[in-house]
Amino acid sequence: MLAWTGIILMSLLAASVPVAAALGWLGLILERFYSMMPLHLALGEIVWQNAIEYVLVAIPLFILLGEILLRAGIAERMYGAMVEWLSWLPGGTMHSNIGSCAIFAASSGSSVATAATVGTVAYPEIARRGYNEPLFLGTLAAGGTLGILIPPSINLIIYGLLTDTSVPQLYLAGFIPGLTLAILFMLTILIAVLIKPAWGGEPVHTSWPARWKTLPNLLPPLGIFVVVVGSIYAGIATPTEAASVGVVAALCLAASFRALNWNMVREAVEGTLRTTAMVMLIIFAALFLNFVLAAIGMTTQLINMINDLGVSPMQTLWVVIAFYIVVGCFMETLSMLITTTPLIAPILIGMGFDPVWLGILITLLLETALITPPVGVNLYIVHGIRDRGTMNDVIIGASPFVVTLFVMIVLLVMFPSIALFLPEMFYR
Amino acid sequence: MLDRLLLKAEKTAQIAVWIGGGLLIFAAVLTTIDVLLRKLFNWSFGGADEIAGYMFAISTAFAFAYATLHRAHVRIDALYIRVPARLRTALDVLGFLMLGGFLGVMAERAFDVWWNSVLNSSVSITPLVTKLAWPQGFWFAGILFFVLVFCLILARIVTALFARDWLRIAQLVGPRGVEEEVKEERDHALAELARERAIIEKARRDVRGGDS
Repeated sequence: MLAWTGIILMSLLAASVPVAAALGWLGLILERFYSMMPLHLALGEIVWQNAIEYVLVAIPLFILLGEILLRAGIAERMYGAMVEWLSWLPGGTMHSNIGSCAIFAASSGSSVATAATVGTVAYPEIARRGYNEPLFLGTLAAGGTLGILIPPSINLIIYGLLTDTSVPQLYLAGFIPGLTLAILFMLTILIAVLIKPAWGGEPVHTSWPARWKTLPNLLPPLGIFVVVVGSIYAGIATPTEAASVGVVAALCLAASFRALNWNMVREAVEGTLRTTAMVMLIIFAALFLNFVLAAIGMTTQLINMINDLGVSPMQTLWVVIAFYIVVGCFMETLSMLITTTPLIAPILIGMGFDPVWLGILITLLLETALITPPVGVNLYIVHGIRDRGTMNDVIIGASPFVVTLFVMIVLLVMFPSIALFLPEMFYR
Repeated sequence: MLDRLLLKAEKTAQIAVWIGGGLLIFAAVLTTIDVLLRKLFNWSFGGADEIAGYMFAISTAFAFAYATLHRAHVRIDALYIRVPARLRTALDVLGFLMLGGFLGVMAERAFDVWWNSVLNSSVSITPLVTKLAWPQGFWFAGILFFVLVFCLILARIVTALFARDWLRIAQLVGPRGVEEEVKEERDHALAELARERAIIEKARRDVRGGDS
């Protein structure tokens, strides 16, 4: 049963069937062969219950927030400031890509929005300064992954929902790992450029007066960050409410930049709903598949299999990490989070691992999944902003950053306090 | 005829998305006011979360058709880009049929959910006591709209198959980017052609020049 499930899923995905349809049909096929009960009858109820799930409303709101920031020119200004502040490093504006992604991640909850927004703004730099195109694209794909680690993060909301873990604690825990990872990404660029100086493009000329002048451009995204994340920590708002406040604040900001008009709002909602429909369809299909897997006993089979390995908690953890890395190559991250968390989190938490720490670890693994081929959403997104070349350029360029993520994962396992320091200080 | 209908469907999907986006922004503003009132005056009108949930469900359902018309559904192209063009067309159609099929099953079940609420006059177990038939009705309508658009695209694919119009199929259900690639290829070919013509022209002139 386990093997067939894998084979069917792989075949459907390899045949380039849309991911949502592949997950949904896997559920329907498994029901047909392994279930005595007509499980698909529950599909309508599953979809409706989750379609109105208040926690999930945060998803389109955070996407909308990103779209508004992008179209208000806020991201462009922020990128300009980041170029002034970070491009003196060898590797030039590639460091600005990571810095902008980190800041944008702090005002948007999704990696897709982060990669798409910063990518769109940064892409012309390749031609302007002659960077190595794959490496440059890699920085965008990798930097974008910060979106789900640095709060506010959509994935951490879903993890919190599935494991009954406090979202504010998860958000606090994401801070230091997020910053550490951003610094590690920049170190990766430095190493790459030291090995091959030609990849670094033409040096960018900046000056201190220009730096101070652009500093106010960093304020709007940081302001949004303070409003959204601050209202959650202050206990004023739930994540969805905070996302709503963030959208309203972003609209006000856009108005103050005189960028708020009918066309801009129209484009923002079109982009938001296109992404939301795609993401939610995958979530619905994955939740249905989840339901079928649990009903036919696959979930138990999987847990037994892991228990049968008869290994220590640490070994189990490494098996799980390996599992996520392998599955992450083939599965879209949100579907992976939704299908695996209810299975894996209870096993590991039962073995004594901290749920908040585990949330951050899984998020790092999802970040890896975002940029590992053949299925890596950020790879698609970054390739999507280009008008030439093949996916392979992005895949090659992102590969050094996959190694960086591995390093970060090892660091987090060896020093759990990277994630737990802040939540322990504030909550425990 | 079909193409005109498809254009109409695209326009309708777009307007549906505008309305859906409006609902979403409305929900955000409503929630923000609720949060502010609660913080400043310790008073809440309650139910903002429930309303936001319904708006979310409805706008998402109506956006399915839009996302499909814009080919926004994630597909894995690792193998896809390595197979011959005709096989790609077959995979495009297969993927589209499976997407429609799954949503078809979903639509059938969604109808059941809605119709049960209508028959039982179900209400939500919340202070708002919403008559569920209303939000569920709009939600089902959104999924039904997808099914209609799906049938329309399917009909157009069938006619394109008979006409062996592979390009049109790629435009309808191929991955995004194919169109652009095709255009690039064509522009490239045209440029090549122009260059060749120029060379021939130049050679002719040179020959004539040699004659005179």
